[in-house]
Amino acid sequence: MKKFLAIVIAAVLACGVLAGCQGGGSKPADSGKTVFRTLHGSDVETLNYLNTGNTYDMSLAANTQDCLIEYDPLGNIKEAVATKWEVSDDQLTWTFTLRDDIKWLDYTGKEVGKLTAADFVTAAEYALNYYTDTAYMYEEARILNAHELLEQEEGVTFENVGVEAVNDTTLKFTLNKPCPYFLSCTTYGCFMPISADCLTAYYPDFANRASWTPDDWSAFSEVLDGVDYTKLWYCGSYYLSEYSPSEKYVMTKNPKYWDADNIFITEVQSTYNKEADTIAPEMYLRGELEAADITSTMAKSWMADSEKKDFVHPERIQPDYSYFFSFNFNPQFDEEYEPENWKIAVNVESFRKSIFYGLNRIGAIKISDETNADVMIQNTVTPRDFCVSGGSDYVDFEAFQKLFVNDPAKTKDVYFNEEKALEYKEQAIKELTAKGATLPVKIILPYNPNVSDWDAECMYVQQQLEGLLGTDYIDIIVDQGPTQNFLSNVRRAGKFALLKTNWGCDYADPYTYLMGGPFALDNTYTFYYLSEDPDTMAIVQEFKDKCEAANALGTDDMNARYQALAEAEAVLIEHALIIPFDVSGGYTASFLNPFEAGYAPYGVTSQRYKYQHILEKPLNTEQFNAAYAQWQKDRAQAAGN
Amino acid sequence: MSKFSNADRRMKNLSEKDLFSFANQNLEDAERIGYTDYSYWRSTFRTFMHRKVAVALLIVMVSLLLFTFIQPLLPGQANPNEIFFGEGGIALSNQGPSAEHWFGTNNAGQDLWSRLWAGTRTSLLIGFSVAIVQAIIGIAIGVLWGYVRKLDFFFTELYNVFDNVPSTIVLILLSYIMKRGIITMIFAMSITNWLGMALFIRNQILMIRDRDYNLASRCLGTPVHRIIFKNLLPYLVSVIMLRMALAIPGAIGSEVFVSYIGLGLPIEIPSLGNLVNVGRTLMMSPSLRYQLIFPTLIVSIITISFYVIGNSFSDSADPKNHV
Amino acid sequence: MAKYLIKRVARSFLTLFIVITIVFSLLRLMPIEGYFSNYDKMSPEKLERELARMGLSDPLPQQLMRFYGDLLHGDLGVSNRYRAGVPITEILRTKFPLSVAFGVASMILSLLLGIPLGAWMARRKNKWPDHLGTVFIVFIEAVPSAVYYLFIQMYGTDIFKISMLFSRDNPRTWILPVISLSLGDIAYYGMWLRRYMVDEMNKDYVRLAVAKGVNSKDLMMKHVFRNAFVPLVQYIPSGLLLTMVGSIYVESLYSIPGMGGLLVSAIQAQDNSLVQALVIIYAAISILGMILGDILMTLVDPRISFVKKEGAR
Repeated sequence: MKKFLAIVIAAVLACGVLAGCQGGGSKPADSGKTVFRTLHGSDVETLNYLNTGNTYDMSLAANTQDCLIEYDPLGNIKEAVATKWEVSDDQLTWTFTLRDDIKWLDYTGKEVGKLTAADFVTAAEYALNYYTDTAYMYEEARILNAHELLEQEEGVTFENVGVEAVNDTTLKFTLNKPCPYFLSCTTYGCFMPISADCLTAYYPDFANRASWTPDDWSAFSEVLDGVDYTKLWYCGSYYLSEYSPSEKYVMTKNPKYWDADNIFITEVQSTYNKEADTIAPEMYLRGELEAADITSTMAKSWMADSEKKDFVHPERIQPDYSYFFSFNFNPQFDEEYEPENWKIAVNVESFRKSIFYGLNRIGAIKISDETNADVMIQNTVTPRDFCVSGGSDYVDFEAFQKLFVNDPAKTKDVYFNEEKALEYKEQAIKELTAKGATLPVKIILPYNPNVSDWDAECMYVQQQLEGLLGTDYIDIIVDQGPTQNFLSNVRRAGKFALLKTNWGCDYADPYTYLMGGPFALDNTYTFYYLSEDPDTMAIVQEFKDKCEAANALGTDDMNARYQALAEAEAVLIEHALIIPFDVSGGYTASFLNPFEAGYAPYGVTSQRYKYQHILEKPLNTEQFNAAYAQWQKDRAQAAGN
Repeated sequence: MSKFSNADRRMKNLSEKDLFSFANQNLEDAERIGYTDYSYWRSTFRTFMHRKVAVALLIVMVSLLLFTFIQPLLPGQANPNEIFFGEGGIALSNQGPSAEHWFGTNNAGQDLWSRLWAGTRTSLLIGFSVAIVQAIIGIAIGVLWGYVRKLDFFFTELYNVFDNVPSTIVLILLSYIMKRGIITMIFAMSITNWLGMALFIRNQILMIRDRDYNLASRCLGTPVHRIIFKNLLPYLVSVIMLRMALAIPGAIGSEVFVSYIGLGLPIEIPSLGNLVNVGRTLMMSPSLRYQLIFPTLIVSIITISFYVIGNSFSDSADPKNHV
Repeated sequence: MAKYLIKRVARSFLTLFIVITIVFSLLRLMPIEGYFSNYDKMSPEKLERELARMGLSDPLPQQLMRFYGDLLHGDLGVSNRYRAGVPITEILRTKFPLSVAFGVASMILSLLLGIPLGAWMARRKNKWPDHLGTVFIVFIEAVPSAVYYLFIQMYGTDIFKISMLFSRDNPRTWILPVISLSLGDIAYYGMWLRRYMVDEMNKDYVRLAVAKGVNSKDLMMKHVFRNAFVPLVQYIPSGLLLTMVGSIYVESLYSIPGMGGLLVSAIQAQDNSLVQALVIIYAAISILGMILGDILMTLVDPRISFVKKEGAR
């Protein structure tokens, strides 16, 4: 017995020592393993990659289809299907030269055809004629007549659209005006190629598509949505060798892929499990999986465990979605919450500012993620790592620095300032009473009960703000919204006073987070264009002018454009039309190093397995942080040159 | 032989008057023997009181119930919704049990002790209401369905219709029109719960309605309502009680599903269903298991108590056990 | 009896018709935006076209007629949200047999264990087998199933050294899900059989038989058990048929691609044709279960009758 105990103790000590050793920032080593196994908790709905915006659906297409261009691990544009591209002097014609040796494979890996420029045209033809879920990207990319065809304007057919196969290896796009972010648009699913031969084999009538009516396209699209993996063709780094819906899929490396040397994982297996949150971490610990998502509470308890702490690391922050609080300038909620009173209050800048400076954002983020709040918090709507220019990240531009009231070296929350909030409160009380508003101002703050921790976060916001500013000044009402169609019933219906909202970027330009996105002049985020207050309208006008000024700068000097857009974004923050909040973070346990992978917050790049190795040991937090710091440094340097 | 002769000898010596005389009749005694003070409910109660475990659990249950009402009045109790702030305005999230917070805090930094009792109060209220609604509607319909032969067709098909329209659809549609709260919750659960009870009663009635004693009653022209209330229902008291006892913990369980559909209680009304659900997601984190253990413990105590009390009560409700 | 059955089956079709009509109409009350994942970005023309394609723009009676027309041709339609474009029959073809297999296996196990458990407890009432059984039943009833399912999976797979997930080819991975599925039913049968048998044992004829010295084993089997089993018999066909609906939780935990939770997901996704198809199947199953239950009950207990003219009104 004693002997046994001694062995156990020795073993435990050894583990501890080993764990301690690897705890340092040692470089992660390759394991030589090539099969990657994981679980997916949400089902893949369709394999039709041209008609889905769903992340889970796209995780398959991202790896089994290829795009014209791609991004390297630092976020630089690299050739993929296209080996070179040229833009005309008027910035309106983009000509791509394609590789001539790319093959289409079927689900067995057998060669079934050759990829040509026409395959990109076929994809556009389907997307625009039918108006697929993601076809608006052609519009965003400013393709000539894409908008007109989508809107079914008289006399416009696909013939008039600016997508053309000059020959087998030359593809030409014509735009209606210069587009500074055109290349990033081509990394979306709807710009991926699809072979007309494949479609005709699957749906013989496709050969007659020239004479199709919108109803025919509709009927075709429905059939294509139900396509089976055995009927599709693949040209990406993997082909789909097995797929049973809500059961399992297997992707096998494409040996004929043009860059096969950079594909190190030869097989990806993923099993569907609705309880993946609970099951995956345990399977991962038992060595049955190579990656698992970890909830933040579970991560905390793993971190406290000497053995498990090296199995988990923070998730790479993805600047594809940004969260911010929106004030509603056109309240449509019930009379009992006094919409008219709110209308007066929200148009008083000092009132908005008292909340802007009074909200303890880090405290609110910590409700859902205790340890990552400092990384997740954002002081601008456009998140960090989205865009770099002139050797600096967009969010560090001078335009924003001047708004900071706290020292960013001391706290990550540069706005939360109790004294300032109380000063604005005093001022607001005077202005509010002058305008005939009643105090306390009722603020209805809805949440979706299906989003975990959102309810608790709202309660925190309520009690923190009321505690600071006093219940005689504001009365925050936390309101449980519907679980079904929350956005259309609450945000778009204007049934909120204050609401945490989010926006996902569409292309590689901060404009997507501004006038090109949630702050368009007809947005359903703040409804500020419906305000009747001259002060508010002056702010909106200033924002609009600055955005247009940035657009007028053209595409030659991107740094100047970004600086100008930053000035515009600063207007929103300075006048507290919105309160920047955070990006999603969290934890993951994985044998992959995310910084090896290609990087782009838009398009399908972030879902690819390309460039990644299965490591010998899971990445731990120290290694992750070291790799992240190094990556930020390399990226800023690369952008500065 | 000798015994007889002895008696004979004694008899011979007595006169006729001595041999035959009226015994004293005591009217009071007669009254006492002729009248039984048997009362069904009192006997049921008395038999029940002999079951030590059940009585003990009944006491536990009653104290638990009383405590949920007394708890908020005790000194030093936190408001179940109050968030406790630590340094720098950060909520005291997920703090383990301590002197300050006996059952620790949840991820929003709220006191779990007070939330647990507030939740127990809510859930018991919901459970009792649902059980009572279910009993009233279920028994009424079940008895008619089982006993009145002409109505069997109507109720069987009505049941089939109600049972087969998925409650999820009804609940989702309800979630569009009703404001979330305790009343909505009770309504949503009662909308379908009575079906099971009605079917159960109907099947029980089917089995006994043609027994001889009921046939006899009918031959004697006993009215239907009298047969139902005097012949059928008393026979079923034991099983009805057991089912009702199980309905209360059952309601706590189905709360989770109703929440999932979107008719759940808002965060400011804690309930056992919600607390267990949050706790379940933390099961794999040993340091946070206290958030699962305490609510599960209360749910288990309630379930076990109702099960044992219900079972003992139905045993006691059987008159054969009264002797 | 045959006449009664024919009448009853005919009535069931009427009920089925009513159920489907109600469900069909209720589904049309769902908000339009629920049908599209990118409702925001859709043009009014496309919206109209898509609604027309799904047959949602016609008046309700017309939609209903078309639906019944297709149904008579055996066409259940195509899923439009849950798995866009795939025929419903194709979706159900692989899922249905799996749930049935698990359901039947767990049903057999729970009858095999639950009925002896209940009988044993009743015969040894207030002795240790009764107490032991009560502890088991109380545990199963008291601990939320979601909690003990997870424990069985975590520790079971660890002990048997098998994968945590189900795989069709490995028969050992069937064991734990079947056990998990049957625990609740074992407790259910045990609890109610004990209750009914105890009630039966208190009846005068049984007491008389005991007093007369009838062999206690015979008495238990021929009289007490047989009478006590009658109310449970009603439940068995429905129970068996309902297992085919699948279990949301067990199937999710073990990645079993069965029917569990399909109806709820379909409703939440507003996949009308899938919901309608499932409602038809489930309604038919439960109505059939009820008829079979009634028949079984009359077979087991000849005193019960649905056709006798005299008797209760």
